[in-house]
Amino acid sequence: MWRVVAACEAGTSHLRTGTPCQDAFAVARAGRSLLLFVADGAGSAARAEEGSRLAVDAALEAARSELASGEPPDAGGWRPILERIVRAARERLEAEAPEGLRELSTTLLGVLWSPGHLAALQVGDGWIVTESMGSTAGALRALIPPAKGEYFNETVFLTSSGFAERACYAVMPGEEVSGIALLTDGLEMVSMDLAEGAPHEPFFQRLFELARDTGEALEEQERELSDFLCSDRVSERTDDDKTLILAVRTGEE
Amino acid sequence: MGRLDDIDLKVNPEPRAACLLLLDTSGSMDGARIAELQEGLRVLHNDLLQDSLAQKRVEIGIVTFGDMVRVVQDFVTAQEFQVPHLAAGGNTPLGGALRRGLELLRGRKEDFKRNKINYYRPWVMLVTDGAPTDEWQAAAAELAAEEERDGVVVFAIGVEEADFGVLRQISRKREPMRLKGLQFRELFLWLSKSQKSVSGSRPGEKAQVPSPTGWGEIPT
Repeated sequence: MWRVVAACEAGTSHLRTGTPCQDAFAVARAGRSLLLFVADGAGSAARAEEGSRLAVDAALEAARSELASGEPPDAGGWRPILERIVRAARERLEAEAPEGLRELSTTLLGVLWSPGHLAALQVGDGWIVTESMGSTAGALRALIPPAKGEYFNETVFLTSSGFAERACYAVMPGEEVSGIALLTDGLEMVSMDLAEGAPHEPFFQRLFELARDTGEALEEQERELSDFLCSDRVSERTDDDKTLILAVRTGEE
Repeated sequence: MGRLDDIDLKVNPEPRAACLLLLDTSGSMDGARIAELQEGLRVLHNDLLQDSLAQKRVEIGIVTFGDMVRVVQDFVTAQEFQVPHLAAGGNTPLGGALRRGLELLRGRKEDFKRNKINYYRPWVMLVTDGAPTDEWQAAAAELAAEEERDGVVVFAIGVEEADFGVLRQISRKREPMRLKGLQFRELFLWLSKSQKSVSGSRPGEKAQVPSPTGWGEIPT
Protein backbone atom coordinates (compact mmCIF):
# COMPACT_ATOMS: atom_id res chain seq x y z
CA MET A 1 0.00 0.00 0.00
CA TRP A 2 1.11 3.51 -0.67
CA ARG A 3 0.49 6.67 1.28
CA VAL A 4 0.56 9.81 -0.86
CA VAL A 5 1.02 13.38 0.37
CA ALA A 6 0.92 16.10 -2.27
CA ALA A 7 0.78 19.87 -2.55
CA CYS A 8 0.90 22.42 -5.34
CA GLU A 9 1.36 26.14 -4.73
CA ALA A 10 1.63 29.22 -6.94
CA GLY A 11 4.99 30.99 -7.02
CA THR A 12 5.35 34.51 -5.67
CA SER A 13 5.87 35.94 -9.18
CA HIS A 14 2.46 34.58 -10.17
CA LEU A 15 0.84 35.79 -6.96
CA ARG A 16 2.24 39.29 -7.65
CA THR A 17 0.84 39.45 -11.16
CA GLY A 18 -2.41 37.64 -10.36
CA THR A 19 -1.50 34.79 -12.72
CA PRO A 20 -2.92 31.41 -11.70
CA CYS A 21 -0.68 28.53 -10.65
CA GLN A 22 0.38 26.81 -13.87
CA ASP A 23 1.44 23.49 -12.33
CA ALA A 24 -0.95 20.56 -12.14
CA PHE A 25 -0.82 17.08 -10.67
CA ALA A 26 -2.86 13.89 -10.50
CA VAL A 27 -2.74 10.89 -8.18
CA ALA A 28 -4.73 7.69 -8.64
CA ARG A 29 -4.77 4.02 -7.73
CA ALA A 30 -5.71 1.33 -10.17
CA GLY A 31 -5.88 -2.11 -8.59
CA ARG A 32 -2.51 -2.55 -6.91
CA SER A 33 -0.92 0.10 -9.10
CA LEU A 34 -0.17 3.68 -8.17
CA LEU A 35 -0.25 6.42 -10.80
CA LEU A 36 1.42 9.80 -10.26
CA PHE A 37 1.65 12.70 -12.71
CA VAL A 38 2.87 16.30 -12.51
CA ALA A 39 3.06 18.98 -15.19
CA ASP A 40 4.51 22.47 -15.29
CA GLY A 41 2.85 24.88 -17.73
CA ALA A 42 5.35 27.27 -19.36
CA GLY A 43 5.25 30.77 -17.91
CA SER A 44 5.44 32.26 -21.39
CA ALA A 45 2.45 30.29 -22.72
CA ALA A 46 -0.95 32.01 -22.79
CA ARG A 47 -2.95 28.98 -21.62
CA ALA A 48 -0.27 27.26 -19.55
CA GLU A 49 -2.57 26.33 -16.68
CA GLU A 50 -4.94 24.58 -19.09
CA GLY A 51 -2.03 22.84 -20.80
CA SER A 52 -0.67 21.31 -17.60
CA ARG A 53 -4.13 20.24 -16.42
CA LEU A 54 -5.02 18.64 -19.75
CA ALA A 55 -1.67 16.86 -19.88
CA VAL A 56 -1.95 15.19 -16.46
CA ASP A 57 -5.61 14.29 -16.96
CA ALA A 58 -4.98 12.78 -20.38
CA ALA A 59 -1.90 10.91 -19.12
CA LEU A 60 -3.83 9.52 -16.18
CA GLU A 61 -6.69 8.38 -18.36
CA ALA A 62 -4.29 6.71 -20.79
CA ALA A 63 -2.40 5.02 -17.96
CA ARG A 64 -5.62 3.62 -16.48
CA SER A 65 -6.72 2.16 -19.76
CA GLU A 66 -3.25 0.70 -20.44
CA LEU A 67 -3.25 -1.02 -17.06
CA ALA A 68 -6.83 -2.26 -17.34
CA SER A 69 -5.50 -5.41 -18.99
CA GLY A 70 -2.88 -5.93 -16.29
CA GLU A 71 0.75 -4.93 -16.05
CA PRO A 72 3.26 -6.16 -18.61
CA PRO A 73 5.28 -9.21 -17.47
CA ASP A 74 8.74 -7.72 -18.09
CA ALA A 75 10.55 -4.38 -18.16
CA GLY A 76 10.64 -4.33 -21.95
CA GLY A 77 6.86 -4.30 -22.11
CA TRP A 78 6.68 -0.97 -20.31
CA ARG A 79 8.44 1.19 -22.86
CA PRO A 80 5.65 1.15 -25.51
CA ILE A 81 3.08 1.80 -22.76
CA LEU A 82 4.97 4.88 -21.55
CA GLU A 83 5.34 6.11 -25.13
CA ARG A 84 1.62 5.73 -25.75
CA ILE A 85 0.81 7.68 -22.58
CA VAL A 86 3.05 10.56 -23.68
CA ARG A 87 1.48 10.49 -27.13
CA ALA A 88 -2.03 10.45 -25.68
CA ALA A 89 -1.25 13.55 -23.61
CA ARG A 90 0.23 15.30 -26.63
CA GLU A 91 -2.81 14.41 -28.75
CA ARG A 92 -5.13 15.82 -26.12
CA LEU A 93 -3.29 19.15 -26.34
CA GLU A 94 -3.40 19.05 -30.14
CA ALA A 95 -7.15 18.40 -30.07
CA GLU A 96 -7.66 21.29 -27.68
CA ALA A 97 -5.62 23.83 -29.63
CA PRO A 98 -4.97 22.65 -33.18
CA GLU A 99 -3.85 26.14 -34.21
CA GLY A 100 -2.10 27.37 -31.09
CA LEU A 101 -0.39 24.37 -29.54
CA ARG A 102 2.35 26.56 -28.09
CA GLU A 103 -0.19 28.34 -25.91
CA LEU A 104 -0.60 25.08 -23.99
CA SER A 105 3.15 24.50 -23.51
CA THR A 106 3.76 22.21 -20.57
CA THR A 107 6.11 19.57 -19.24
CA LEU A 108 4.88 16.11 -18.18
CA LEU A 109 6.35 13.73 -15.63
CA GLY A 110 4.80 10.47 -14.56
CA VAL A 111 5.39 7.37 -12.46
CA LEU A 112 3.43 4.12 -12.78
CA TRP A 113 4.22 1.80 -9.91
CA SER A 114 3.08 -1.79 -9.93
CA PRO A 115 4.32 -4.69 -7.81
CA GLY A 116 6.51 -5.80 -10.70
CA HIS A 117 7.97 -2.53 -11.92
CA LEU A 118 8.25 1.16 -11.45
CA ALA A 119 7.96 2.84 -14.86
CA ALA A 120 8.65 6.54 -15.32
CA LEU A 121 8.30 9.06 -18.10
CA GLN A 122 9.53 12.62 -18.38
CA VAL A 123 9.20 15.34 -21.03
CA GLY A 124 10.97 18.55 -19.98
CA ASP A 125 12.18 19.84 -16.64
CA GLY A 126 11.41 18.54 -13.19
CA TRP A 127 12.62 15.58 -11.17
CA ILE A 128 11.60 12.09 -10.20
CA VAL A 129 13.39 10.87 -7.08
CA THR A 130 13.25 7.33 -5.75
CA GLU A 131 14.18 5.91 -2.37
CA SER A 132 15.28 2.32 -2.39
CA MET A 133 14.91 -0.51 0.08
CA GLY A 134 16.76 -3.76 0.61
CA SER A 135 20.55 -3.74 0.76
CA THR A 136 20.76 -0.07 -0.22
CA ALA A 137 17.88 0.98 2.03
CA GLY A 138 17.25 4.70 2.05
CA ALA A 139 19.46 5.47 -0.95
CA LEU A 140 18.05 8.32 -2.99
CA ARG A 141 18.49 8.87 -6.65
CA ALA A 142 17.24 11.01 -9.49
CA LEU A 143 15.68 8.51 -11.85
CA ILE A 144 16.06 10.54 -15.05
CA PRO A 145 18.97 12.92 -15.66
CA PRO A 146 17.92 16.44 -16.72
CA ALA A 147 17.84 17.03 -20.46
CA LYS A 148 19.24 20.57 -20.35
CA GLY A 149 20.61 22.57 -23.22
CA GLU A 150 23.51 24.98 -22.81
CA TYR A 151 21.37 27.67 -21.25
CA PHE A 152 19.46 27.57 -17.99
CA ASN A 153 16.17 28.73 -19.53
CA GLU A 154 16.08 26.10 -22.26
CA THR A 155 13.91 23.03 -22.03
CA VAL A 156 11.64 20.80 -24.10
CA PHE A 157 7.87 20.66 -23.78
CA LEU A 158 5.16 18.19 -24.64
CA THR A 159 4.18 20.77 -27.25
CA SER A 160 7.71 20.98 -28.78
CA SER A 161 8.24 19.45 -32.20
CA GLY A 162 10.94 17.12 -30.87
CA PHE A 163 8.93 15.91 -27.85
CA ALA A 164 8.95 12.24 -28.82
CA GLU A 165 12.73 12.04 -29.34
CA ARG A 166 13.45 14.04 -26.21
CA ALA A 167 11.07 12.21 -23.90
CA CYS A 168 12.97 10.12 -21.32
CA TYR A 169 11.90 6.81 -19.84
CA ALA A 170 13.09 4.58 -17.00
CA VAL A 171 11.95 1.21 -15.68
CA MET A 172 13.15 -0.47 -12.49
CA PRO A 173 11.98 -3.33 -10.26
CA GLY A 174 8.94 -2.20 -8.26
CA GLU A 175 9.94 -4.14 -5.17
CA GLU A 176 13.11 -2.09 -4.76
CA VAL A 177 11.28 1.18 -4.21
CA SER A 178 10.14 2.41 -0.82
CA GLY A 179 9.54 6.07 -1.63
CA ILE A 180 8.82 8.20 -4.70
CA ALA A 181 8.91 11.97 -5.09
CA LEU A 182 7.86 13.95 -8.15
CA LEU A 183 8.58 17.64 -8.30
CA THR A 184 8.35 20.48 -10.79
CA ASP A 185 11.46 22.56 -11.38
CA GLY A 186 10.15 25.39 -9.16
CA LEU A 187 11.53 23.42 -6.22
CA GLU A 188 14.84 22.31 -7.68
CA MET A 189 16.92 25.23 -6.38
CA VAL A 190 16.29 24.09 -2.79
CA SER A 191 15.93 20.33 -3.20
CA MET A 192 18.47 19.16 -5.78
CA ASP A 193 22.23 19.41 -6.08
CA LEU A 194 22.13 20.90 -9.56
CA ALA A 195 25.85 20.51 -10.22
CA GLU A 196 25.65 16.76 -9.58
CA GLY A 197 22.06 16.22 -10.70
CA ALA A 198 21.42 14.42 -7.41
CA PRO A 199 18.77 14.76 -4.71
CA HIS A 200 19.71 16.75 -1.61
CA GLU A 201 19.37 13.89 0.85
CA PRO A 202 18.41 15.66 4.10
CA PHE A 203 15.61 17.41 2.23
CA PHE A 204 13.98 14.26 0.91
CA GLN A 205 14.66 12.23 4.04
CA ARG A 206 12.69 14.71 6.10
CA LEU A 207 9.81 14.74 3.64
CA PHE A 208 9.59 10.96 3.43
CA GLU A 209 9.71 10.83 7.21
CA LEU A 210 6.74 13.20 7.37
CA ALA A 211 4.78 11.14 4.86
CA ARG A 212 5.52 7.94 6.80
CA ASP A 213 4.06 9.27 10.03
CA THR A 214 0.72 7.49 9.90
CA GLY A 215 -0.12 8.89 13.32
CA GLU A 216 -1.00 12.20 11.72
CA ALA A 217 -3.96 12.84 9.42
CA LEU A 218 -3.21 13.12 5.73
CA GLU A 219 -4.99 16.48 5.46
CA GLU A 220 -2.81 17.85 8.25
CA GLN A 221 0.35 16.71 6.46
CA GLU A 222 -0.76 18.17 3.17
CA ARG A 223 -1.39 21.47 4.92
CA GLU A 224 2.12 21.32 6.43
CA LEU A 225 3.56 20.64 3.01
CA SER A 226 1.63 23.55 1.47
CA ASP A 227 2.75 25.86 4.27
CA PHE A 228 6.33 24.84 3.63
CA LEU A 229 6.05 25.44 -0.12
CA CYS A 230 4.69 28.94 0.58
CA SER A 231 7.17 29.72 3.35
CA ASP A 232 9.60 32.64 3.13
CA ARG A 233 12.53 30.22 3.19
CA VAL A 234 11.37 28.73 -0.10
CA SER A 235 10.05 31.95 -1.65
CA GLU A 236 13.37 33.70 -1.10
CA ARG A 237 15.00 31.18 -3.40
CA THR A 238 12.39 30.60 -6.06
CA ASP A 239 9.44 32.62 -7.38
CA ASP A 240 8.10 29.84 -9.59
CA ASP A 241 5.10 27.55 -9.04
CA LYS A 242 6.04 24.41 -7.16
CA THR A 243 4.48 20.99 -6.92
CA LEU A 244 5.55 18.02 -4.85
CA ILE A 245 4.07 14.54 -4.69
CA LEU A 246 5.44 12.21 -2.02
CA ALA A 247 4.55 8.55 -2.04
CA VAL A 248 5.77 6.13 0.63
CA ARG A 249 5.13 2.45 1.02
CA THR A 250 3.37 1.44 4.16
CA GLY A 251 3.54 -2.04 5.69
CA GLU A 252 0.03 -3.29 5.06
CA GLU A 253 -1.00 -4.81 1.74
CA MET B 1 5.53 25.58 14.41
CA GLY B 2 5.42 23.34 11.36
CA ARG B 3 7.43 20.15 11.17
CA LEU B 4 9.12 21.33 8.00
CA ASP B 5 10.18 24.72 9.37
CA ASP B 6 13.80 23.71 9.77
CA ILE B 7 14.13 21.29 6.86
CA ASP B 8 17.58 21.47 5.34
CA LEU B 9 17.53 23.26 1.96
CA LYS B 10 20.14 22.85 -0.73
CA VAL B 11 22.06 25.98 -1.63
CA ASN B 12 22.88 25.97 -5.34
CA PRO B 13 24.86 28.74 -7.01
CA GLU B 14 22.56 31.19 -8.77
CA PRO B 15 22.45 30.83 -12.56
CA ARG B 16 24.34 33.70 -14.22
CA ALA B 17 23.40 36.17 -16.94
CA ALA B 18 26.67 37.65 -18.21
CA CYS B 19 26.39 41.08 -19.81
CA LEU B 20 29.45 42.46 -21.57
CA LEU B 21 29.68 46.19 -22.26
CA LEU B 22 32.03 47.38 -25.00
CA LEU B 23 32.28 51.12 -24.46
CA ASP B 24 33.88 53.71 -26.72
CA THR B 25 36.16 56.00 -24.69
CA SER B 26 37.90 57.65 -27.64
CA GLY B 27 38.69 61.37 -27.66
CA SER B 28 35.37 62.26 -29.31
CA MET B 29 33.51 60.92 -26.26
CA ASP B 30 35.11 63.56 -24.04
CA GLY B 31 32.88 65.97 -22.15
CA ALA B 32 29.13 65.45 -21.85
CA ARG B 33 29.16 62.08 -23.62
CA ILE B 34 31.55 60.35 -21.27
CA ALA B 35 29.90 62.00 -18.27
CA GLU B 36 26.46 60.74 -19.33
CA LEU B 37 27.84 57.29 -20.13
CA GLN B 38 29.39 57.15 -16.66
CA GLU B 39 26.06 58.21 -15.18
CA GLY B 40 24.35 55.48 -17.22
CA LEU B 41 26.55 52.83 -15.57
CA ARG B 42 25.57 54.16 -12.17
CA VAL B 43 21.87 53.93 -13.12
CA LEU B 44 22.40 50.36 -14.37
CA HIS B 45 24.08 49.34 -11.15
CA ASN B 46 21.51 50.97 -8.87
CA ASP B 47 18.60 49.52 -10.76
CA LEU B 48 19.98 45.97 -10.71
CA LEU B 49 20.52 46.27 -6.97
CA GLN B 50 16.77 46.85 -6.56
CA ASP B 51 16.13 43.28 -7.68
CA SER B 52 17.08 40.60 -5.18
CA LEU B 53 17.49 37.87 -7.82
CA ALA B 54 19.07 39.99 -10.56
CA GLN B 55 21.75 41.38 -8.27
CA LYS B 56 22.99 37.84 -7.67
CA ARG B 57 22.52 36.61 -11.22
CA VAL B 58 23.47 39.41 -13.60
CA GLU B 59 27.22 39.68 -14.19
CA ILE B 60 28.71 42.81 -15.69
CA GLY B 61 31.99 42.96 -17.59
CA ILE B 62 33.33 46.12 -19.24
CA VAL B 63 35.89 46.60 -21.99
CA THR B 64 36.66 50.20 -23.01
CA PHE B 65 38.42 51.27 -26.19
CA GLY B 66 40.15 54.64 -26.58
CA ASP B 67 43.85 55.28 -26.11
CA MET B 68 43.98 51.49 -25.66
CA VAL B 69 41.73 48.45 -25.22
CA ARG B 70 41.18 47.95 -21.51
CA VAL B 71 39.28 45.45 -19.39
CA VAL B 72 38.11 47.96 -16.79
CA GLN B 73 35.86 45.37 -15.18
CA ASP B 74 36.16 41.60 -15.44
CA PHE B 75 32.82 39.81 -14.91
CA VAL B 76 31.34 40.31 -11.45
CA THR B 77 27.77 40.06 -10.19
CA ALA B 78 25.84 43.33 -9.88
CA GLN B 79 26.14 42.87 -6.13
CA GLU B 80 29.95 43.00 -6.35
CA PHE B 81 30.13 45.55 -9.15
CA GLN B 82 31.65 48.98 -8.56
CA VAL B 83 31.14 51.64 -11.20
CA PRO B 84 34.55 52.33 -12.77
CA HIS B 85 35.78 55.80 -13.62
CA LEU B 86 35.85 56.35 -17.38
CA ALA B 87 38.24 58.78 -19.08
CA ALA B 88 38.06 59.68 -22.78
CA GLY B 89 41.03 60.02 -25.09
CA GLY B 90 42.75 58.51 -28.12
CA ASN B 91 41.53 56.58 -31.17
CA THR B 92 38.71 54.07 -31.65
CA PRO B 93 40.25 50.54 -31.56
CA LEU B 94 36.87 48.85 -31.92
CA GLY B 95 38.29 45.69 -33.53
CA GLY B 96 40.62 45.15 -30.59
CA ALA B 97 37.73 45.61 -28.17
CA LEU B 98 35.60 43.05 -30.00
CA ARG B 99 38.44 40.51 -29.85
CA ARG B 100 39.18 41.15 -26.19
CA GLY B 101 35.48 41.05 -25.34
CA LEU B 102 34.93 37.72 -27.07
CA GLU B 103 37.92 36.27 -25.23
CA LEU B 104 36.54 37.48 -21.93
CA LEU B 105 33.12 36.03 -22.66
CA ARG B 106 34.45 32.65 -23.74
CA GLY B 107 36.62 32.51 -20.65
CA ARG B 108 33.61 33.24 -18.47
CA LYS B 109 31.57 30.48 -20.07
CA GLU B 110 34.46 28.10 -19.37
CA ASP B 111 34.43 29.22 -15.73
CA PHE B 112 30.71 28.50 -15.52
CA LYS B 113 31.12 25.06 -17.04
CA ARG B 114 34.08 24.15 -14.87
CA ASN B 115 32.22 25.19 -11.73
CA LYS B 116 28.97 23.62 -12.94
CA ILE B 117 27.11 26.91 -12.70
CA ASN B 118 24.03 27.24 -14.90
CA TYR B 119 23.90 30.27 -17.16
CA TYR B 120 21.78 32.21 -19.60
CA ARG B 121 22.77 33.31 -23.08
CA PRO B 122 25.17 36.21 -22.55
CA TRP B 123 24.60 39.67 -23.97
CA VAL B 124 27.12 41.98 -25.62
CA MET B 125 26.23 45.66 -25.85
CA LEU B 126 28.48 47.90 -27.91
CA VAL B 127 28.31 51.69 -27.58
CA THR B 128 30.29 53.93 -29.92
CA ASP B 129 30.16 57.44 -31.36
CA GLY B 130 32.60 56.94 -34.20
CA ALA B 131 34.18 54.57 -36.67
CA PRO B 132 36.92 52.01 -35.95
CA THR B 133 40.53 53.10 -36.39
CA ASP B 134 41.88 49.55 -36.38
CA GLU B 135 41.19 46.33 -38.28
CA TRP B 136 37.69 45.29 -37.17
CA GLN B 137 36.16 43.19 -39.99
CA ALA B 138 37.60 39.84 -38.87
CA ALA B 139 36.52 40.39 -35.25
CA ALA B 140 33.05 41.49 -36.36
CA ALA B 141 32.73 38.32 -38.44
CA GLU B 142 33.84 36.24 -35.47
CA LEU B 143 31.24 37.84 -33.21
CA ALA B 144 28.58 37.35 -35.87
CA ALA B 145 29.54 33.68 -36.13
CA GLU B 146 29.26 33.36 -32.36
CA GLU B 147 25.80 34.91 -32.50
CA GLU B 148 24.86 32.61 -35.38
CA ARG B 149 25.73 29.65 -33.09
CA ASP B 150 23.38 31.14 -30.46
CA GLY B 151 26.43 31.75 -28.28
CA VAL B 152 25.62 35.38 -27.60
CA VAL B 153 23.05 38.15 -28.15
CA VAL B 154 24.52 41.31 -29.71
CA PHE B 155 23.21 44.87 -29.45
CA ALA B 156 24.97 47.82 -31.09
CA ILE B 157 24.18 51.37 -30.08
CA GLY B 158 25.42 54.36 -32.08
CA VAL B 159 25.78 57.80 -30.56
CA GLU B 160 25.33 60.83 -32.84
CA GLU B 161 27.80 60.56 -35.75
CA ALA B 162 28.53 56.83 -35.25
CA ASP B 163 29.15 54.80 -38.42
CA PHE B 164 26.01 52.68 -38.74
CA GLY B 165 27.42 50.85 -41.75
CA VAL B 166 30.04 49.37 -39.42
CA LEU B 167 27.50 48.71 -36.65
CA ARG B 168 25.32 46.72 -39.06
CA GLN B 169 28.30 44.45 -39.70
CA ILE B 170 28.65 43.85 -35.98
CA SER B 171 25.00 43.50 -35.03
CA ARG B 172 23.67 41.41 -37.87
CA LYS B 173 20.58 39.96 -36.25
CA ARG B 174 19.22 43.19 -34.78
CA GLU B 175 19.21 46.58 -36.44
CA PRO B 176 21.66 48.84 -34.56
CA MET B 177 19.92 51.62 -32.65
CA ARG B 178 20.75 55.30 -32.58
CA LEU B 179 20.77 56.80 -29.11
CA LYS B 180 18.41 59.78 -28.92
CA GLY B 181 20.59 62.68 -27.84
CA LEU B 182 22.62 61.56 -24.82
CA GLN B 183 19.93 59.47 -23.17
CA PHE B 184 22.40 57.08 -21.59
CA ARG B 185 20.36 56.87 -18.40
CA GLU B 186 17.35 55.59 -20.33
CA LEU B 187 19.55 53.21 -22.31
CA PHE B 188 21.06 51.65 -19.20
CA LEU B 189 17.73 51.53 -17.43
CA TRP B 190 16.44 49.54 -20.39
CA LEU B 191 19.50 47.29 -20.20
CA SER B 192 18.84 46.72 -16.52
CA LYS B 193 15.17 45.86 -17.17
CA SER B 194 16.22 43.49 -19.95
CA GLN B 195 18.79 41.74 -17.78
CA LYS B 196 16.28 41.42 -14.95
CA SER B 197 13.96 39.75 -17.41
CA VAL B 198 16.71 37.43 -18.70
CA SER B 199 17.94 36.46 -15.26
CA GLY B 200 14.41 35.85 -14.00
CA SER B 201 13.36 33.68 -16.92
CA ARG B 202 12.78 30.05 -16.15
CA PRO B 203 13.30 26.96 -18.22
CA GLY B 204 11.22 27.19 -21.38
CA GLU B 205 10.62 30.89 -21.08
CA LYS B 206 11.95 33.37 -23.54
CA ALA B 207 13.02 36.47 -21.68
CA GLN B 208 10.68 39.34 -22.49
CA VAL B 209 12.92 42.19 -23.59
CA PRO B 210 11.24 45.59 -23.24
CA SER B 211 11.00 47.74 -26.35
CA PRO B 212 13.88 50.20 -26.74
CA THR B 213 11.57 53.11 -27.45
CA GLY B 214 12.36 56.04 -25.19
CA TRP B 215 16.09 56.09 -25.73
CA GLY B 216 16.60 54.72 -29.21
CA GLU B 217 15.53 55.02 -32.81
CA ILE B 218 16.29 53.10 -35.96
CA PRO B 219 18.92 55.15 -37.83
CA THR B 220 17.91 56.34 -41.28
